[in-house]
Amino acid sequence: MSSSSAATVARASSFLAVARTLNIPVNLVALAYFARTLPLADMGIVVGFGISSFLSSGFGPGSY
Amino acid sequence: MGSGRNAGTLVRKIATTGFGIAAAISLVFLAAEELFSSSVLRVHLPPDLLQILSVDIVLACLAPYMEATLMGLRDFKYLSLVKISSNWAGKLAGVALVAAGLGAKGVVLGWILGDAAFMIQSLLAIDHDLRAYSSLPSSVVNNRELFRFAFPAYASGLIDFGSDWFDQILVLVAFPIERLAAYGVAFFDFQFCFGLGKHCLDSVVPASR
Repeated sequence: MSSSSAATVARASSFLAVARTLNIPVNLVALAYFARTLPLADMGIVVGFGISSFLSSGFGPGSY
Repeated sequence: MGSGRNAGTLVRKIATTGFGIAAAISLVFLAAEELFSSSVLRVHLPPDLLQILSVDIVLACLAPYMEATLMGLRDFKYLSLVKISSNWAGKLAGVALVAAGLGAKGVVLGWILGDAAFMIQSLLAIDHDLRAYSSLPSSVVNNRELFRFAFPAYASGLIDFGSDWFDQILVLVAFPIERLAAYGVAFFDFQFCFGLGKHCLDSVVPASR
């Protein structure tokens, strides 16, 4: 890998890792709130939807 | 080599094709979701909840196109800003809507708002970047090569999905839906504790990925 390619990969990884890290707090707060507020059946539906939504979109042609 | 105008035409063509595929997937989901909710979730879901979820699936299917385009344009800084702002907007909107008494529908509407925010900001950034981008390598329009590259990635994605989600699918199929809720929350907590150190390390030392 050339040094410019390596620098590009490092730059991309750094920015995306920062984004993932900064998204953790709000994801955790939202999940805690949903888990405390929603009835268990509603929460189960949300988790089930998450699985089916990922299944539908995760293999789209734009995924890679 | 194409011109900047050709690059814009290519991106529009990809986005249009992507929208068609996303809409088709969403319709299939909408048709199959009745079956999914009755046989897998084993609960009766209100039709409007399924309809708003199908809207989110269109946006979620398009998001990887936008993300890949921004990565291809090497606009990593803006991409990370868009990911942060859209995620925060979607999650906070979801919390506000649930607090307003919308229940599970509020969570799904929050997803839609977050994904829509991601889409709008990405499109604005792509439009801005393409004005300054003068050329694209001609190889990117070779569909056969692209498919040959993507096919193993699809297989890999399927295996990744199976390995990452099999436990939740098993709980979903074998136990009442309330168990899935408890399991999902516990699993997220575990991922948070497990992933926090890794994400912090990735931020400081990206080569560790």
